[in-house]
Amino acid sequence: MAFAFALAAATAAVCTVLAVGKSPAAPLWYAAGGYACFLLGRIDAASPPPAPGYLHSGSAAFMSLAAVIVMRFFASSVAVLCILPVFAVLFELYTRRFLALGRRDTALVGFALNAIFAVLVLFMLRADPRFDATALSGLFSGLAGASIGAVGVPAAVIPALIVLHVLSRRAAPELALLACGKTCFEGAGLNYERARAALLCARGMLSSLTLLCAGWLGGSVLIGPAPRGAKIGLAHDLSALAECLCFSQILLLASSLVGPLIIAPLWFVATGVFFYYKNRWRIFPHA
Amino acid sequence: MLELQGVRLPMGVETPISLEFETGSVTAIVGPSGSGKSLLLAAAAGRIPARGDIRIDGRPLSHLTRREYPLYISYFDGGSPPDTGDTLYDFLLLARAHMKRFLYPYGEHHLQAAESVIEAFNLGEYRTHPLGILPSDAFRRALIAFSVLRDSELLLLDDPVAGLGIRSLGIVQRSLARHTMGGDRTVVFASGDLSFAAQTADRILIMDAGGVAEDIAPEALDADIIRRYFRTEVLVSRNIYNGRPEVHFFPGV
Repeated sequence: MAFAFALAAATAAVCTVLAVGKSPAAPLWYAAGGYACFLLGRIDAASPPPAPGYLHSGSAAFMSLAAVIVMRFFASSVAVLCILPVFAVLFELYTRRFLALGRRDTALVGFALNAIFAVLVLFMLRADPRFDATALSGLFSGLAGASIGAVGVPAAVIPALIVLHVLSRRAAPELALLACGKTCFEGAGLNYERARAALLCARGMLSSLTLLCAGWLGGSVLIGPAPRGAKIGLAHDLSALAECLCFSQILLLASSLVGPLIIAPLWFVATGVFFYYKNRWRIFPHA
Repeated sequence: MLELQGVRLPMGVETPISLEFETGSVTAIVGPSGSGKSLLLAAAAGRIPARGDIRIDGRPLSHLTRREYPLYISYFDGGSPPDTGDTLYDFLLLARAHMKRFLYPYGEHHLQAAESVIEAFNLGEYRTHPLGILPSDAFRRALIAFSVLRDSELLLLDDPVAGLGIRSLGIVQRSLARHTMGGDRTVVFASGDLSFAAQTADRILIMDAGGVAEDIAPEALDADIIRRYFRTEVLVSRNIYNGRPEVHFFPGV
């Protein structure tokens, strides 16, 4: 029933978005962004220890800071497109491997980066007359979605994400083993350091893809815990994905009607959901 | 068979340890706190650097490839996994990851092995519970079950019975006995519980100051030996069923 309601709402959202004059590429970009964020949730569930997601780890804020700085000095969207995946991977490697931040520290760093980003944006809006405020809407609602109107590009991204999804389903036992820590993973004869580095790179690539496709809004599509474990049921997995995709279309509609700054209240909602799930499901006596 | 020749533990002492652990045997390592029990196990598992020669079935430990390691050694260091969100069943299945093909699902025999270990460790009622919310006794049993389910030739357990209740002690004891019943697997465990060690093992090694001070049959454990190495007075009685020692404290002493 809930799924049928979400599907109907998503269909209505897509029709309304097209009716208000958005490019047909926009729903596809948001679907790609929502899909990337869904896969990000899968990786987060496997990262030892499971960590806050895209918005609350500060990943989105860090990439946005990088994008604002690059745009300020180079004024080139292509430069931003090229630099974002690199910065995303560097951020992951620095915070999760070099600093090896725990769950709580990651959340604190994320909060600090979000605050820094907000202050910097407010400062530049008031103090820098050359600052292009429309670039901000690109960050909040999807950089690529805002600038690329062709349907072909997002239509090519989605199959790549499907391949990644199938691969993540096949590797579910190995990912679950990774979440059990170094002793468990190496005890099974697998190379922990290499697997962890690969996972962090994948996380960085998916973070940048989420920001490019659906911006900050894409990070709020994960409204529940991602399916996890050594055996993930296909029906459960697909329904969780469908929820994400439907919600991404509703966010696109909200962004089209209200403007990209809808992310501000959404950030608080996502934070509330984040704390609810982390406290409800994550804090166990033996953890 | 596990062989240690001239192994020196990184404890600042120069006592070399030379031991052989016959395949099919259950050996208990006991000793006062800080005597090197855990270090000896970790060295035998190749988890800490130790000078000397360690061989499994005649092969040097350092020559085992990453893929071969879990076939030979399953090591339980007493720690908990950092993420305890998986259900008990899913967690136990992970113990068989080294036996399945990479990116392929678990075979039916792996699922059956998980079922049988759940039954052996009396964990059926917790099958679908997240690992983190299990009672501490069942959680501990689940961690030991995980190591047993690996089905490696050598099972090394560091303090497996710490915090276990009387019922769980019996379950673990029976499971270890069943594990070596076929004669092709070896169990070595370190424990501070002398009664459990005497009731479970075929052989007891008493560690003291980084070396093996005594290598005895369980029946030989008596109050004098315990006084000498543990510096405490105890009463040692005999179990009426198997004649093995049971250690009791003197209340108030």
